[in-house]
Amino acid sequence: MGKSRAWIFGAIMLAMLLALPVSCAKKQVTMETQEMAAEEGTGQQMAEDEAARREAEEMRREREARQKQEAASMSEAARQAAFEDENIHFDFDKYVLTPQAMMILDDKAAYLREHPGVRVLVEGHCDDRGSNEYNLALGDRRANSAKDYLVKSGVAEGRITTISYGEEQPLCRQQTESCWSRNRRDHFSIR
Amino acid sequence: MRYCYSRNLRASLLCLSAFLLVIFQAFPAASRIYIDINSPLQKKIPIAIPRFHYEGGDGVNLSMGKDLADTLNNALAFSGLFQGLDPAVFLQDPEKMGVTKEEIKFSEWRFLGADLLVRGSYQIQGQKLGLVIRLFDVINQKLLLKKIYATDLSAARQTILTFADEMMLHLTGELGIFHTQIAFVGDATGKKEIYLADFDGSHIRQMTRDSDMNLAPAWAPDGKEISYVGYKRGNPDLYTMDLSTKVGEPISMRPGLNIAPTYYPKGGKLAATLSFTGNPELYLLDAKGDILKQLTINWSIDVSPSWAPDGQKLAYVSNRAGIPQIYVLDLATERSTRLTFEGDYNTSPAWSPRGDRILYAGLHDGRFDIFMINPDGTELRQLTGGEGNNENPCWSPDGRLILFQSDRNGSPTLWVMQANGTDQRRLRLNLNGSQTEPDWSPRLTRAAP
Repeated sequence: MGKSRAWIFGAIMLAMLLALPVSCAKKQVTMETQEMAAEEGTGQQMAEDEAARREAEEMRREREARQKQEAASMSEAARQAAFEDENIHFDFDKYVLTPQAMMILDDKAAYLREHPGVRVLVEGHCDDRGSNEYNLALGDRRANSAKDYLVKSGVAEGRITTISYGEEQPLCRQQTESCWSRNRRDHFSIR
Repeated sequence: MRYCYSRNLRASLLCLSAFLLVIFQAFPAASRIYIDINSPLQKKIPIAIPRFHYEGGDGVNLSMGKDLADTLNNALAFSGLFQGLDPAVFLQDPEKMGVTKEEIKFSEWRFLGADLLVRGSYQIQGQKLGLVIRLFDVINQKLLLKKIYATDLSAARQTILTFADEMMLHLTGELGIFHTQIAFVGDATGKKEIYLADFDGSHIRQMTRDSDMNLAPAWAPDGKEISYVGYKRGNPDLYTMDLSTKVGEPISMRPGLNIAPTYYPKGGKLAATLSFTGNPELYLLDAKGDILKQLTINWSIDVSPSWAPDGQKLAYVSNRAGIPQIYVLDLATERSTRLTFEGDYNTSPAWSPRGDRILYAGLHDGRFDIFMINPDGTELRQLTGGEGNNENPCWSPDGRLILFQSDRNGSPTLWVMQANGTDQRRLRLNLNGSQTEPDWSPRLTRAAP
């Protein structure tokens, strides 16, 4: 009995020793598979990114084409109205331009480059929270943020004037974030 | 300076009488202060002002006796130091009651709880008004003050206010604020314009009538001129107005902002914010608007200057830390130090006339409230809370009252409180629309327009 037990024990140990490299190999295989899958995933991501980029490019081209087309079909008066109607917006107590604001300013810069005789007034506005005086200063900085961007985009500085109205000319008067965010704006008018 | 910490009405009476004793026995004229207005424990002094006694003449106007008493009562109540007794509880018919010390039944007034009694009499001759007004200490049964005035009937209110100032001088050692005015922005016409009114909101006058809005009025230290911001030339420009001519003259029309005017306490100069460089900075301007000195140089917003009364320091708002906070500029060293660290949005500093406190408006739990702090950054106290947005605080020239704008009842209107935040009440202004950006005048020697 003692002998056969010892044999069984030895056999189990042997089997375990044999099994070890096998399981290791298996593990390696699994890991490689995962890595491959990951590589495939990266490839997929890259492809998706590329697609998104192509799509964005497509959209941008479409947007530009559409704008060009619209511009061609639109009367000058309508183009001017479009220029004046679109405000840019700011975060609370901020005067840095958002990516959205920069996109809108790109369009305005393009319009101004196409119309070298046009002069523009940039009005800086704020929501009604905070002191009237501080908001006048904030509106001044907001108007100058847009002016600086337009100048960097090739519009002559002398064509742009700024004025701050602070919180004095709100578009709406509700004490809600949606109203406040509408009021935190630069407005553009052609002079 | 003596301090009168009173715990209740009776203690207040004893305290007052003790002071009267000291003053009249030891220092008959030199030291008169026996109401300490700085004590946080100060109770209001109960005062009785029965209708003035008609002494004859050729013009009988019996309602005038009541008007004169009411005018005095309202003015004294406005100061926050006095509690006028209700005439309904008076035990005698004021018309039958005498006016001299010998005729006054002090025990009756003492029974009603009055510490002080004002007894006035008047005569009318044509358009002339004669007034004799006496102030009595009820506790000690003493005549404290007797004034005789001969004036025009039309100047009755001003004469009563002159007596109120004399009373304050006698009782506190300092004139009252009864010959002061306030300037503010009102939009009753649909457009923001500059208005003046008497300290209590009466006698409203619209000072600007321009094609575009006017903002931020500030009193010159001589009370003869105001400065403000006007848009009528298509830009926020700085104007000054001689109050005798009511003509606004532009003094700074530089490109960008010309805002936040504040007169140097000794006159002749102003601090203001200009942004012709592309960034709002503080400048010192002469009376004609020429730049004497640039006070801040950095790439952040610097606005809303308020002078220390000695003119050596300037509190202002800067967002150099990314958020608006109050800073103090020492003009000698040209160094600015940050004053406020509580809260993310603090604006509108107002340095007290005594130099010992700075008020400001701070955003706190989504609302603006008035805070008070010492110029060294200690003793931060919140004065308003839980009632709308409270902003743009300013001081009465004696430093005892604070005027501010509050939207607790809807659109912003002007409110007054004691310097410790108590007794908040709406200023009685018979004007539609909102009222904002108040500034309190210095003491005026004569009535401005």
